[in-house]
Amino acid sequence: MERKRMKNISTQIMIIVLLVIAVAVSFAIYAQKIAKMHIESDTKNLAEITSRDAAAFSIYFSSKIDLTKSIGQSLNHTSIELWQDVLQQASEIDGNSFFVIDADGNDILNNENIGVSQKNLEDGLTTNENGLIGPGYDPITGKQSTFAYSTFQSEKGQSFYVLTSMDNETLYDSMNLSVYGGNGYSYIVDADGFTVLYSKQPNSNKTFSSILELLSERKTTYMHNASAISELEKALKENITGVGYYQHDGKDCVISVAPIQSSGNWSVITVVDEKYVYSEIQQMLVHTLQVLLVIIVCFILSAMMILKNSRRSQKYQLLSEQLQMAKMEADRANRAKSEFLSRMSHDIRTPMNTIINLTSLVKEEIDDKEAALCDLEKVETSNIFLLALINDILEMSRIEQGRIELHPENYSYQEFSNYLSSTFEPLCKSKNIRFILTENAENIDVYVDKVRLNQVCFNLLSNAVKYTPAGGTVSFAVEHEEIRNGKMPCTFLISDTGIGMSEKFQRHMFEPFERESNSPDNVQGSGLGLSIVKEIVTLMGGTMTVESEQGKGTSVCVQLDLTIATRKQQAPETSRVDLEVLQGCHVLVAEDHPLNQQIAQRLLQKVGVSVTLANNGQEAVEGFKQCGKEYDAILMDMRMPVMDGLCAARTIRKLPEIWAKTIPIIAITANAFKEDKDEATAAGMNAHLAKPIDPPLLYQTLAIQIANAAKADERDRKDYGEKGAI
Amino acid sequence: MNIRCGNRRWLRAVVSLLVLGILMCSIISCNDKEDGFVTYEAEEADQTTLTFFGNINASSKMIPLEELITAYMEQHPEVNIIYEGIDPSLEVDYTMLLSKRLSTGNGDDIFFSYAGYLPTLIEGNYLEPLDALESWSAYAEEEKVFLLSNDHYYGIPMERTVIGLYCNLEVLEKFDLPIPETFDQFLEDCRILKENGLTPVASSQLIPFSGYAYADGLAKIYGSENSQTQVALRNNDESLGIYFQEGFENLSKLLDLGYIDRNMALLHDTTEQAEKDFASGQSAFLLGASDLNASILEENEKLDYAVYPIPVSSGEGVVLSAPDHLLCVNAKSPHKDLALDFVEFCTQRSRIESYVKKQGSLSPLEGSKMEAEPLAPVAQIISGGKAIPSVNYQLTARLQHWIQQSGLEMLQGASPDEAVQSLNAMIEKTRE
Repeated sequence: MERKRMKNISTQIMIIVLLVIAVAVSFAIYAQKIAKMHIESDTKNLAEITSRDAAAFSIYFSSKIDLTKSIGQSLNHTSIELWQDVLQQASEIDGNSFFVIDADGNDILNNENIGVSQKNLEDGLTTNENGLIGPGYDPITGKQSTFAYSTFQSEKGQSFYVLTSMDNETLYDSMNLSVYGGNGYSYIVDADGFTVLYSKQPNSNKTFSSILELLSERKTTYMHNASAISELEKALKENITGVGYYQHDGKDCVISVAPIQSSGNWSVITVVDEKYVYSEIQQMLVHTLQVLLVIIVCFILSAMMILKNSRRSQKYQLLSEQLQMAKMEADRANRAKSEFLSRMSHDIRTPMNTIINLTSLVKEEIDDKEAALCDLEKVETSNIFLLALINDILEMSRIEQGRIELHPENYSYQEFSNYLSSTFEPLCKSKNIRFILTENAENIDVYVDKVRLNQVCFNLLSNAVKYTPAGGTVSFAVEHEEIRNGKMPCTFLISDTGIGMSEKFQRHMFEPFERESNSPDNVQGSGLGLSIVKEIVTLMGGTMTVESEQGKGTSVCVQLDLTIATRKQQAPETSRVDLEVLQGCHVLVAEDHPLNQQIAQRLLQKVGVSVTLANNGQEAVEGFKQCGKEYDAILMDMRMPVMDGLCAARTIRKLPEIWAKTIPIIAITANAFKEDKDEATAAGMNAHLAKPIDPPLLYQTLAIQIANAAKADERDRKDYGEKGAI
Repeated sequence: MNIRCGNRRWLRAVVSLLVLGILMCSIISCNDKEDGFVTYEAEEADQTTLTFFGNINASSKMIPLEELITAYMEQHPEVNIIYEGIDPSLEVDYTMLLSKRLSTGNGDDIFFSYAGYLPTLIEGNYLEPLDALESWSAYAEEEKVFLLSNDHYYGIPMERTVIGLYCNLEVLEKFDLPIPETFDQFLEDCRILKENGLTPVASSQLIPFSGYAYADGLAKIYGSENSQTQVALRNNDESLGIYFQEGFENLSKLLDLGYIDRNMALLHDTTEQAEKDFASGQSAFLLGASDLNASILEENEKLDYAVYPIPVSSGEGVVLSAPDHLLCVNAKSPHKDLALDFVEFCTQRSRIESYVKKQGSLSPLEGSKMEAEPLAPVAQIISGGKAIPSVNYQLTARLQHWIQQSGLEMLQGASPDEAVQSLNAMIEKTRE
């Protein structure tokens, strides 16, 4: 049960853990999806910002290119002398500086170089008639500038380029190329990634002229895949708008690129440290994690409560089941008790019916001695059956309570055999049954509970005799095997040619009160015999098997391992004493029941014993004090009011008189158990007789005790005499 | 015990707990509702922007400078410094751009200047005096004096440049040639090398080329003790050109004998090709400044070479020393105090030492050690104070520039006498 409970708990814990994992995983997936959505949104925003910046630049540059173009057209096919004035006027109108350069970047009018690299000059001037070149330096101010150019022809047909100078610093300020609160910045690069317009943002790196020198590829993260630098290079060259994830100057960054349409091959690059882009996402993830933790905690608490409740429920259920079982057991016991009482009522009523009715008849037929005797014999038979029934019930009760104990003693086979033959030969003879006692055993003394062994054989033989009709045979055989380690395996075989038992009954034959339904009417029994035998055989460590066939007979085989007796013990004194000893004796009878007093008195007077009655232990003690010397023995009932028998016996034994110590006290009691006997012995009683009193046994016991007492007195007197009288 | 009743009670408790948890989650994750129309004000950076213009743009040299700028901004979050470095690939003169910016009112708050160009800037009143900088205490007095102009300091050097003769020891060892200590020995080494098919001296148009004449002339000018007096004397007395006559003649010899490839020198206006020739062993000698170290090692990191004094007509070899990358503050800067603070920050001893170490250049400070192994031969001369300053505002501001111009004319075919005449003319013109 406990193992099952632990298994249940383990299963529940596992389920809870799995559910928590499932919730956590679901949340993680959810958070990742949301994060990705955010990232996509943020990168899209970044791309849009960069595109707008590029668009703004494009518009601005376009306007400058258009302005330059118009100035170029003004200068077309004019002489160099006019150029200065034209440019001066344009400068006054527009506010920017204008120059005319040759293909090498030399300012024709100011004899300066605009500082644009040769490569940029070649890339720009040779590609389109109008466009942008840079970065360079304004020939007048020396400031870093970007130039819009337009091609024109001189009067002599030479190609020159009119430039509009755009101060980079002013350009940058007006475009506000700062994002994410200044944590990101934008600037312009050409198709090779070289910087055209630097950022003024503090964290922007102006050391390297090409952004590609600052980039390195990074690893793919759970948020996004890494981007290849080649993709950015391609975007710059092919005027593609895009967003990539790189390490820029050692930091994880998001880089967006958008082409400036009017520039030809320039792009706006926006660089933002990733942590600023994803700060919101991280906050969201933190919140999500908080939510998740709270839910998990609630879940765990709930699970713990459910678990606790489950355990309590299981405990209650267990208790409930136990109560159910106890109730069922109690009900069963109750039913068994009711059934027992019902059966007992029937079984007791049957002989009681005989006793009561026949006793009435005897009273009516008192003058008919023969008829009366016949009735009284039947009453006696019923009495015997009733006593046997009561004894069996008591025995069964003791067995069920576990109060049966074995008391092994030396028991000779000869004595055993004598007991069986003396008991059953006359019985079988009276029923015209042949009794066969087969003795294949040596006369060996065994150490066994004599009473229980006799009880087993007696019950089985009794059943055999009961259920064998006249003319049948009852046999008893004993065999034994070789003695090993002080044990002798014995087999007791009791067979009969009786009515046998049905198969149906054989399935329940060891259950108390079970009787064959087709038992002959004249066979009386409590239905406890086989149950008792089975219990006793089991207690003795043996086995019992039954073979029976209805109409043919029954064989019961009992196997016991009997211990070989290691020393001879003198069997208790079983020699009979002449009842003449009782003649003239005076016995004190302590009995509270008037009827029992009468029975005892009549029985004793029948053998010449005079009786003094005491109604309770106290009277017995007082009576003994007064006339103790006159009594030869005391018959003491155990259960009496005022003072019980045990107390009375102890009191008498404590009296100072010598005869108080030697007078035989015989216990008369309904309690026939060993402990009762021991109790009686401990109280100073000499013998123990069970009710109902067996008169012959009473006489013998009384005679033995009185004779023993007399012998003891004689010895004492002789001893006393030698030592001197008081 | 009614188990079913107990179960229902617990189930209610469980559901209540879950609902409570969800409510708590909602509260945690719920933000305050925003107003229907959200306005944003344009973020105005609470910062002062300083512009910094310089002639450093190469990656390897730029990083130490950017680190300085970043360090300052980290300490002063209210300041944003924007550095603009001129791209060396552009065919523009840095000093020209600098002048244009300053003259048109577009000057940067802070800028670098060459030592030789400082006087021009001083004349234009473009520069804020730097006398108050505490950083000056780390500079040697005998060198600081050359930076005084009208008793003021207008530029504080970040580096020192040492001009000496780079000798490819592998080539010299191969032909068993000694380190030239005199000009005659130098010519002899060149002859042997020339006979073996090498171009003995790598050159370009830049000043190192004319350094032979410059070194020779300065050796004469600083030839005696009490050189300061003599310098003043010479400045006011006769034409300085005479001191460079012999130097120009030496230069002529190198050209005429083919020890310097005239055409190659004319072709290259940077030292890049000369560095390659030297590093590859095509040439054994290269007259150059100490900042060539890094470039040469980039070409051939295992090259065995050293920098020795420049052999001159008479006397011991000469090592020229010049302050380089002078930090200046625009006199018309609206943020002068901040600019001065920044210059002070950059020129503190520890920062200068770190800066030059990362650059592979030399510290302008007193007592600084030259750790670059190739400079060991000249280190002692410099630490002993025997290096000749190639820039002396007490002398003539643009002498070095004029010598370069004269040398260029010689490359183009002018004779030593003509070169001297040209030099004197330029000096005279300035005095006028």
